Amino acid sequence: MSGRVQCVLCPHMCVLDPGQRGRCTVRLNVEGELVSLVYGRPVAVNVDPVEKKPLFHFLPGSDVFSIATAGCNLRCRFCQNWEISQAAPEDVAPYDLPPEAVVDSALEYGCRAIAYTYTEPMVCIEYVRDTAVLARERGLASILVTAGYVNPGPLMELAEYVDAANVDLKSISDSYYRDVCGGTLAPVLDTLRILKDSGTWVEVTNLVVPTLNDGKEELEELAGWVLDNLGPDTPLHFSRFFPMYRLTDLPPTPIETLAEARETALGMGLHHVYVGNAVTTDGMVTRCPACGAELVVREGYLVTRMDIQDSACSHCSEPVAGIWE
Amino acid sequence: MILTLVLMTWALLFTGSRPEGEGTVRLPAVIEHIMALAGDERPWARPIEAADMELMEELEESGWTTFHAAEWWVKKDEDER
Repeated sequence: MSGRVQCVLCPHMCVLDPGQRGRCTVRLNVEGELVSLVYGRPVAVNVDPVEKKPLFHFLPGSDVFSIATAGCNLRCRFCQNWEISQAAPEDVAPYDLPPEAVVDSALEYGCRAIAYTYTEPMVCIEYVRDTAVLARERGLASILVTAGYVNPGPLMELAEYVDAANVDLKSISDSYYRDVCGGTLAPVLDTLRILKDSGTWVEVTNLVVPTLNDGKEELEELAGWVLDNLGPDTPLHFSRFFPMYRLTDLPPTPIETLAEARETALGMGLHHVYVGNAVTTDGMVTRCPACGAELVVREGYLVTRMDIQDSACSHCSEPVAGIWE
Repeated sequence: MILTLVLMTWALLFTGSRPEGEGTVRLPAVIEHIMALAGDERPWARPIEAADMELMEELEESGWTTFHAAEWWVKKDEDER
């Protein structure tokens, strides 16, 4: 058919005839030209603590200007932000916020970074790129909170402007990605390696869903992959599931499951393993990988103690991985 | 898509695939994987949809949505245009 285009942004590689839009719902073929429907039109705008992303080793205690456009190229049955991520652009009233306005607002609110978060930032990559370029020019960092379901080419171009990323590694099982998320595993693993190699500060989140991906062996395999491919200093967050969207028939993740996963991952050699979406005593604390002293203590999203000086433990001077200042 | 066709042809001609049962042909796993990646048949993913273009144009004119050129990562089938 005349005017057919193929979007090669993400692994879905949607082939679109005029009038069709991709699986993300936000990239549309208009008379043979692919357009983004959400450029400069975020549907969520907030000032958040960076700990909420979660990023525990990147500018702790700072505020980040957080934006999200509608749409996502996955359709996770447990999505915690499904009202906007699974919505089409016509379903949610947007703000008019071009890149310049995002940067101006972030500075006005005293933020140190802009986070592209809540939904999938990769599906509005043009908006993210243009904003991130401007942000860097004006001294602001850029943070991606992403499922990482994107092709290597676009990712590598964008990574140049990204300072930190939290990537959802939803499972280490390809069938889980297919059955529960509408995607595949391999591209996500590639994304993690590419971001790490590009010098972006990377933290990993795994949402532990009861009965679906909470097996001890699976969680061990996931932690082992992070250890082997991203290194022992990469923070790993085991996050608590709450019944949501299409998985309302499952209970919240037991705290014991998360604590056990954390202990296992620490025992395997990862230095920084956290528990998210839950109140725990040890699961929110950053410890020195050498002397074990408590370095960063958090209560909720609030940093209550910070014993890191010049990127090192203030007790034994062991370097602690992260971007601390 | 051209690459897919070339690889599929190559596979059928040179990899010794044999007809299986009544008229079915078993493709090598790698070719099946390539087809899965290139094709639109992905029951596990959100389907590709036709948009209501009249509505889209109205929303674009009102400023609700944008028609921002996304020429950065796109391929066009020039032969068919």
